[in-house]
This record gives sequence, C-alpha cells and structure tokens, in this order.
Amino acid sequence: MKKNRLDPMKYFSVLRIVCAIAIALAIVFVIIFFVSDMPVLAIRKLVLGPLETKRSFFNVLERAVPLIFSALALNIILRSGVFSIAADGSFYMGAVIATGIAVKIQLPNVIHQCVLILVAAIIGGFISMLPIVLQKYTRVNATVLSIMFNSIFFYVGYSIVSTYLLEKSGQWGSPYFPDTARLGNMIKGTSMHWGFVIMIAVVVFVVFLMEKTSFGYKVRVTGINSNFAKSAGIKTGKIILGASFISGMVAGMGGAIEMVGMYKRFQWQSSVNYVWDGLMIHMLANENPYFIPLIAFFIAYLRIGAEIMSRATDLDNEIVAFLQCIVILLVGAERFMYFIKKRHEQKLALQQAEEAALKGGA
Amino acid sequence: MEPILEVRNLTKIYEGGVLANHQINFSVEEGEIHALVGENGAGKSTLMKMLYGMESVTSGQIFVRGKEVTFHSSKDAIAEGIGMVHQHFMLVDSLTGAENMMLGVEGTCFFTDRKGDIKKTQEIAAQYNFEIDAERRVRDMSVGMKQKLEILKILYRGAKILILDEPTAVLTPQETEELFERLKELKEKGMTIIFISHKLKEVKQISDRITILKGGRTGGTYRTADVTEEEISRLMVGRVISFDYDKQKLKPEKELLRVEDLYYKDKFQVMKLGGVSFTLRDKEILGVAGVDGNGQSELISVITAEFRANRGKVYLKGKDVTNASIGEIRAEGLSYIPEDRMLNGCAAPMSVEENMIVSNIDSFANKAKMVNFRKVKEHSLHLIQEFNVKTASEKQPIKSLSGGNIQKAIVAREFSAGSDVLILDQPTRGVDVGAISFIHSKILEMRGEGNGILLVSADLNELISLSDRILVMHKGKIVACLDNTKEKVSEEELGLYMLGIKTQEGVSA
Amino acid sequence: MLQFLMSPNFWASVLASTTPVLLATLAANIMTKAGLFNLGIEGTMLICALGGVLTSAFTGSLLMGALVGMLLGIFVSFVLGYFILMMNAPMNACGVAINLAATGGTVFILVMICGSKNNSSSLVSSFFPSVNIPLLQNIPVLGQILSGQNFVTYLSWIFVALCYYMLYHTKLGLNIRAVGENEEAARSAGINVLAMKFIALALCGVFCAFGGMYLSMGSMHFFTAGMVSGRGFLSLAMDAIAQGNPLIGCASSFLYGFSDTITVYLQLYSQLDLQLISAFPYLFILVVLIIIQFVRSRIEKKKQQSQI
Repeated sequence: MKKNRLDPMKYFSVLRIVCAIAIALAIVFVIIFFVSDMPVLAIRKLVLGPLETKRSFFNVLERAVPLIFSALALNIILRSGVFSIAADGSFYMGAVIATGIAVKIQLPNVIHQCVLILVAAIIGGFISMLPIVLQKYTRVNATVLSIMFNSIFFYVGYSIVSTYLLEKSGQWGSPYFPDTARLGNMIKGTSMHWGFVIMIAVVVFVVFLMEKTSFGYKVRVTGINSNFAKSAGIKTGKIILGASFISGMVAGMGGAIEMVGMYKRFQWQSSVNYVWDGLMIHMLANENPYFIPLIAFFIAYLRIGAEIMSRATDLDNEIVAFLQCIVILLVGAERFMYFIKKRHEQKLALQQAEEAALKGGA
Repeated sequence: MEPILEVRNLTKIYEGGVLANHQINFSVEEGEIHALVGENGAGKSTLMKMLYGMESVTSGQIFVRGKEVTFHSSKDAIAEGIGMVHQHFMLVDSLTGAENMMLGVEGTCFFTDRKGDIKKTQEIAAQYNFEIDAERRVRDMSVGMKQKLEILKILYRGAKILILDEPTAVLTPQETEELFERLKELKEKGMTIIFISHKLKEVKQISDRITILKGGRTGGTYRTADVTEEEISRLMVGRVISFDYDKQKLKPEKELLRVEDLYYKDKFQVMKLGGVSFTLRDKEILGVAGVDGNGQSELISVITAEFRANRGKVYLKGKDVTNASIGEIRAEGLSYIPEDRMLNGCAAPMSVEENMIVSNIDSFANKAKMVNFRKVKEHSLHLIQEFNVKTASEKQPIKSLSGGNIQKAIVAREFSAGSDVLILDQPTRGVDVGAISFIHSKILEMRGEGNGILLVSADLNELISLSDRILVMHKGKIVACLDNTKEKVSEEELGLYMLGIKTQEGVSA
Repeated sequence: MLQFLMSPNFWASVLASTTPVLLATLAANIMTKAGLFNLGIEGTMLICALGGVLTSAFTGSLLMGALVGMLLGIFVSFVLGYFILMMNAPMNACGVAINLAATGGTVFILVMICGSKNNSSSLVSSFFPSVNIPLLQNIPVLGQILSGQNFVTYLSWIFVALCYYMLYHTKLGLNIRAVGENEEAARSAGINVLAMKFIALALCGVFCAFGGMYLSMGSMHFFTAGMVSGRGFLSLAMDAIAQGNPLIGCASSFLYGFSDTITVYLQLYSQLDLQLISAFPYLFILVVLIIIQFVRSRIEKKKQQSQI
C-alpha cells in the first residue's frame, strides 16, 4: 500500500518536461502557420526532415556531440550549486589549443590526437576555475565573472589564431589540419568521426563520476545544501573548485574534438555559444547525466530539421530559438503544473498527520 | 460579547507538503492579553503569519469582529487593524528608524519628507512613552530599541490587535519588565494583544487567557487564573512530565573532550562566550541548560569548528583541535546532530539512503573513490531497521518523511559513524512523542557503550532525565555544574541558575 | 601616439559609446535595488532595438518606434518577471531563455521581413536626432564634447538623475530598496512586494529599450544581428561595481566608454594586434571590478578588526 502511494509522483518530472516540449512545439507550429506560405511542408521538413536521408540523420548525431560535451560540462558545475558558464570559454579555447597543436607540432597518428585533446582539456579546466577562484577573493557573482571571461577568452583565442596560426592566403582561418591530427571518418558517406566514440566514453565517465563516486556525491550534496555539506565535514570550496576544473576539462575536450573532428581548419570567427544549448539540455535532462545524450539528440534533431526546413521553405532555421526559450521557461518554472503535485502533497501531509495522531493516541 | 478575532478550522500546508496547522480553532476577546503557548514547531508562528496575511490559508476561516475576512497581504490585515511584531524583526537594516516607521504607509506626497518623518516618529514615540532614536540606522540600534520601533510601527498603522511573536526571547530582564509595563498601558488604552511565548512564567504574569497549541492543533483555551504553570506545561507537552529511565550506574574512566577558557564574540561584537571551561568524559551524558541565546549554540558552533574561538582551546581526546577543520574533527571521532535538521542536518531532495552516508561517505568508497552502493544500501537498510525509520523505501527523498522520522534518520547516521564524542543540539525538538522516547533510548544506549555525550536542550525534563551532570549557562558563562546522578536536580533549581538568580561559587566542570 | 586624448572628438565619442552601456547599467542597478538579477538585459535590448527599427520603418514615425520599443522592453521584462516571481523559476535560466529567444528570434524576424540575415538596411527607419544645445555649443572644447550628442545620450543622463532621485528621495524608491534588501520586512510593512518588483522590472525594460534603440536608431540607422554584442552582460559587471547606485554605475559606464573608445583609436593608430585589443574593455572592467571589490572587502575587515 505504501508503495502505491508514491507512484503517481514518480513520473511527475518526466511528465512536466514532456508537456513543456509539447507546448513549445505547438506554439512554434502556430507561428509557422501564421508566417509561412507553405506551413504543412515546413512542419513536415522540421519534424521528419532529418530522417529523409542517411546523411542528414548522421548530421544529427554529429551535431549532438558538442551539445553533449557542453551539457555534461554544465551538469558538473551547476550541480555544485554555482551558476558559472565558463564552459563556453573552455570550449572555444579548447578548439584553439587543438588547432595550435594540430598545425604546429608534428606527431604520429593517434598520439597526435591524444596530445591535443589532453592539452585542450587541461587548459579548459584551468579556464573554468578562474571565475570560481576570483569569486572567492572578490565576492563578485561567479555568473558575471564567467560571462566576462567568456568574452575575454573569445578575443584571446581569436587573436591567437590571427597572430600565430593564420593561413596567409584565402579566407580567414588556420592552415588545414594534417591527417595525423584529425579524428577521421568512422562511416563512409557521412562526416561521422571518432569523436563520437570519445563522447560516449565521456558520458560514461561523467555518469560514473557524478552518480557513483564519493566526489560526485560530495558535489551533489554541496549543490543541494551547502550548509549541511559543511557541517558534515565536506570542504565545499575545494569540491566546487574541483568540479569547475573537471567541468572545464570536459568542455575543453569537447572544443578540441569538435574542431579536429568536424572541421578541416579553424574558421570560427564568432563565438560558438554551445553553452546555452548545453544549459537547456542540462535542464531538460532534469539534471541527470543519464538523459543528457537523449535530450541532446532531440535538440540536434530539431536543429537539423530546422535547417532542412529553411532550405526547403521560406522560413529561417532560427525559429528554433522560440522553442528553446519556451521550453527553458516552462521547465524552470516550479509552479508549472504544480497544481497536480500540490493536491498529492496535501493529501500525503494530512495522511501523515492522521497516522501520527493515531500513534500519539495509542 | 462577540470576539474581536476568531479562527475556525484553520489548516495550513506549505509547499512541499509540510503540515504546519491542522484544524485550529480559537478566539480572542477585545481588550485582553491572550497568550498563545506551545513548543517549538507547534505551529504558533505559522498561525500568526496567516492572521497577519503573510501566509496564504490552505483551508478554514478567519473572522474579525464577526465578519469573515481573507487576507491577500499584510496590507489587508493592517486595514483590519491587525499588527504583528515578528520574532525576527521586520526592519530594513540600512534605513533609519523614521524611514522604517513610514515604510509602506500610504502618504499624500510622492516624495519622502525626511524631516517631517523624523518629527512624526518622535511625536508618536512620545505619545506612547517609548524611547527611540528616529535618525539612527536600524543596523546600529540595540535589540530593545528595534523592538520598540516595531511596536510603534504597528501602532502608527492604526493596529487595534497586536500580535507579539516571542517578544521577550531577545530581551534582558529589565527590557522585559519595561515591555510588560508598556503592554499593560496599551491594554488600558483598549488594545487587544496576542502574546506568543514558551516562557510560562511570563505568560502567567501578563496574560488574561491562554490558548495552547500542540503539534499544529489547538489544545484548548483557559483562563490564566485557573491554571498553574505545571498544568500549562503538561498540556503543552502533552505527556507525563518527566521521563523515567532506568539508567545504568557507570563510572567514567577517561576524558574525551576538554574545553579550556573559551571566548567568542559574534559579528556584532557581542560577547557570546566569556571563558567557558568543562570536561566531558566517557560513559556520561553532560547536559547544557540555559535560556535561549545565552551562548549554548555558540559553544556548540565553536566545538564543531563552525566558528573560531577568539581565545581558548578545545581538546578532543587529548589532541588540540581548536583550529582544526570540521572534516578533521569528525575524522578524529566527533559526531554532531545540528539544531535545525532541515538547514544543517540533511539534503532534503536526496534519498534517505544518500542522507545516511554523508558524513562517512569515504568509508564506502574504494581506492578509486568509487562508492560501493551495495554496501551503502545494506548499511542504510540496517540503520532504517535498527532506528525504526518509517519510510516506504531507502530511495525515498528524505523530505517526504515526517519530522520525527527525518530526525531518527539523522540520529542513525551520526550514531553509526563510530565516534566517541556525540554533540546533540536539541535532538528532540519538534519531534513526536514516539520518536522522542526512541531517540532517548538510543542516547542512553550510546552512553552504555562508553561514548561521551554533550546534550544541549531547551527541554529541561529531557536534560534532567538523561544527564549525569548538568551545566547551566548564563550570559556566556557557566554558572553552575550540577550533579544529577545520586539525586535528580529539580526544575526549579535549574531555573534559578538559568535566570542568573543563583550562581555557584568556583564552578569546576 | 596618445595625442588623441587631447582631441574633443575623442571625448565626444567616449560619451557616445558610454550611452548604451550606461542605460543597460541603469537597468541592472534598478534590478539589484529590487533584489533581482536579470541576465536577460542583453536579450531585452536586442529585441527592443529591432522592434523600434521595424515599427518606425512601417509607421514612418520616430515617436511610434520609440513607444513600441519601450512597450516591448516592458513586455519582455514582465514575461521574465512572471516566470521568476509568479512561477518560481530560477532567475538565471529565465534570463538565458530571454537571450536565446532574442538572438535567434531577431534573426528569424529579420529574415521574414527584410529578407536578410544580417541587417535591416533595406528598410528606411527613423532615428533619434543629434541635439545641439544652444549656448553650450559655442563654448570651445566643452561645447564640442557635450553638445551635438544624440538625443538618447542626453536622455540617459536625465534617466540617471531621475533614477537616483527616485531611489533615494521618493517613497517609491524607498519601497523598492526595502523590498530588495529585506523582502519579508517590506511585506510585513504592508508594501506590495510583487508590485514593487514589477515596477522595477518595467523601469528596467524602459532603460533596456532605450539602450537597444540607441544602437539601432542612434549610433547606427539600421538593425544588425547581434548588435548589442555583450553590452548587456557588461552592465552586470558594471553593476557589481556600483552595487545598485546609479551614480557609481554612471561613473563605471564612463570608464567602459573610455576604454572602448581608446580601443578603437588604438586599432586605428597602432601596430598592436587588433583582436587582442578588442578584449581590452572587458579586461579593463574586470580589473577595475576586482580591485574595487578587493579594497571593499579589506575595508570591511579593517572595520571589524578596529571594533575588536
């Protein structure tokens, strides 16, 4: 009997997220109907486009890779209770460092990729630590600091490429990467690369780290109730610092893998801002790293669908932005669909009170 | 005569499913001082917040002068002539007394009139015979002045019903006397006062009628003259006053915790500890008694390394741990049950299982820092059984349990950590009777196993029935160390020391 | 190399580039005073910048453009407020949502209406005029610097003064500050906390709107995608320096304007790497922020020690 009592609430958070996505999609469809001359085609392309060709389906998988890295990086740091988005800077710098090592240093295949990913990860880690360290000494909000650092590192990375890694002829960008530095094609006819495999390994690593190790446990406790964590003897400052370093490592690694996996040369002239997508995925995954790949595929699917749609119709692919905004707002809102939970909670509280009264009387 | 304020079947369930008030009924007559008494967590503050429009009502009705009212905000309550002085003052620290006084008052002018406000404030203060400095910023005021400001604030808003939530908790005896005089004057002027307290002596002294709250329900209303303090306290606590436990006679052999000449000043530069020294030995329960705010919680905070002492030493099993970190102290063998279980005692959305391993998580991890969750599960199932924690499963979020069961889970965690020294801060506050006697039996069991236990409690019966020795703190000093083994200390005697009326010469503990 | 520091033109452009950041900082100031943190300032500015341009282009009226831009700013702030205050959503995530909708949504609308992903130069939109101040413009140097600025620049100065006066000398300001500092106390004094926060949000929306419209209808005469380029985020750093005080916020915005303009001049006159110089304003503000906060915490510590 006791087990039954909780069942309806078990899937409450999943239900909420599904509803939020459904509402957001519905609103986007309405917008399409209002502004497009060929709404049905547009919706078909948006929803089914990615399944039409093998190439576009694999595009979804590739597109999910950087999203997953960003979301995992955010998952680690946000769950420690600090809202730092320094992962963006780590990601961009990771790509820059990878470019530098790919172009300037000659190493045998395999070792070359390992070195560049590793160095990018470590530097990414240090970059993510900066806002946390400065917050401690200046007591300025880490969010503000991390945003400032993202801008600074974008310009620093950009000027590193401009000054040291620029190909003199042709379009702005670095020289082409040697084959020893690239992550190669896994499946012919697509641009699927070995970064996908590394991504899976990192997902497993983060899941283990956050859910199965004592470190992950401490990070979670710190994020949920830092007073409690402190009084239980956890050194919260160190834990947050550690979490920020690992978060930055994941982001830096993601930047490096995206660069040498998907591109032939460095051509990012504007900041890539995967971090906002990562934040949305982290929230939709209900802060659970298990679900991050799944949600990331979903977002990547929508992105690719929107691109296919914009090629086939008069609509621009940025329409996805509305969807993202609505989903974040609704999922974030505690009160969204709270009335269902409220009724249940009140019933439970009264029930407990009755039980206690019975016991007290006996 | 029609009651000026009446409450019928009022129920409040907070978001998250905490039931704070359950079917409350009571009424207040015009021109009386009506005391509302109850233990911590009995739901007094929640009830008052609903009467003052600060919390929404889940179900039930409120009547003012026979007319049903619904309050959407304090403004509505103020409009009905209800004013409240909160336990934690509702003053904006960076503003001056006059600015706080005029805050939220509907004025004719859009602009602030600094000089006029100050003058008006002084006039009102003079009218009610209150002394305050209208130009001083609130953060620089003394506690007594802040409280006077609060009372003036609600009088200025035209309140006829004054709700005072534990007004004497923070006052010195002289300030309390002065407050009571003012309250009596207000009563003569026709005000109705609802006075919340758990200090029964004061309630007896000042109130006309008493309503008792217990576990979120009403326990009846009585004329003050008709009931004795003992009767009130029995109704409040709702159980036979003293727990009678069969305590083993044990002989302490070694010293576990020694505190030497501890001084601590808080951030307002108030001396909270003024040279505290005592020794805690094995196989004994050392009780600490004192009126709230006399340094007990600071003492615990210093011992558990949350605060740093300004002077003095703490030795744990002979080792100097004055400047050690919380982690080091815990590793050395000290466990601690904090006063506020939701704030410092648990991570509410995490499972029971995860909450049971937090302080010894590293002992479940292997060299690679991987936690062996099978072992965790076994451990927590064992604890759930041994400590009789009522939960659907070990995966249940701990916040869905009742207060007593959360406390039992916390006690289970701390008692199973294998420490020799246990620091218990209000271990049974706001917990149901069944859980209390269970936790008490566990505390005695730990004593029998040779642990040293420092027990801080506001519940004197608990202290008397469990402790071997009782320290009494007054104004940051230990004023008495009473032996409780041969003959039980009486509550009256404790009270005399707690109030600083009596002091032992040359206390050595 | 640095002789341009002597030229009135330089200082005039310092004031011009201060304007949008000053307005954004003002928005952040009022949010801080009301106890809120708005990451969405950046996005709100962007939305208003586009809204103002489009409305003025279609109605042919500057006034309508400004009005709709303002209302749009208030609307966006209220959406944010609704989710934060009524639905208990986390402030940071909601701000991010606004920014996402703004960056993507403005491009979407731009493509729909102008057919270009980059700018609205195909439309003829109105813009705020430059204003020459009589008498002042005749004073040498000072006249060149202070007169002839855009209308919005003068407006922003008026806003700073009004905002300061409002916060510290009116009942509304007193109430907003009380709400921001101690919400419970304000509520128990009978102040409608929610209303105060929404008033603050409305003001924030108006300031954001003018900040955004200055970019698209003042310093430039058309909208370009992503034209706010981090000024909204910078305002949060500026506000961390000012801690809600509009006058200090104004001063720090001026510092930004100075560092931003000097960057432009250095890019014109020096051999240094252009991109690295672009990081200078951010770095400069960051360093100022760190120094000020460090000094602040030192002073606090000293205060405490002196009491002991």
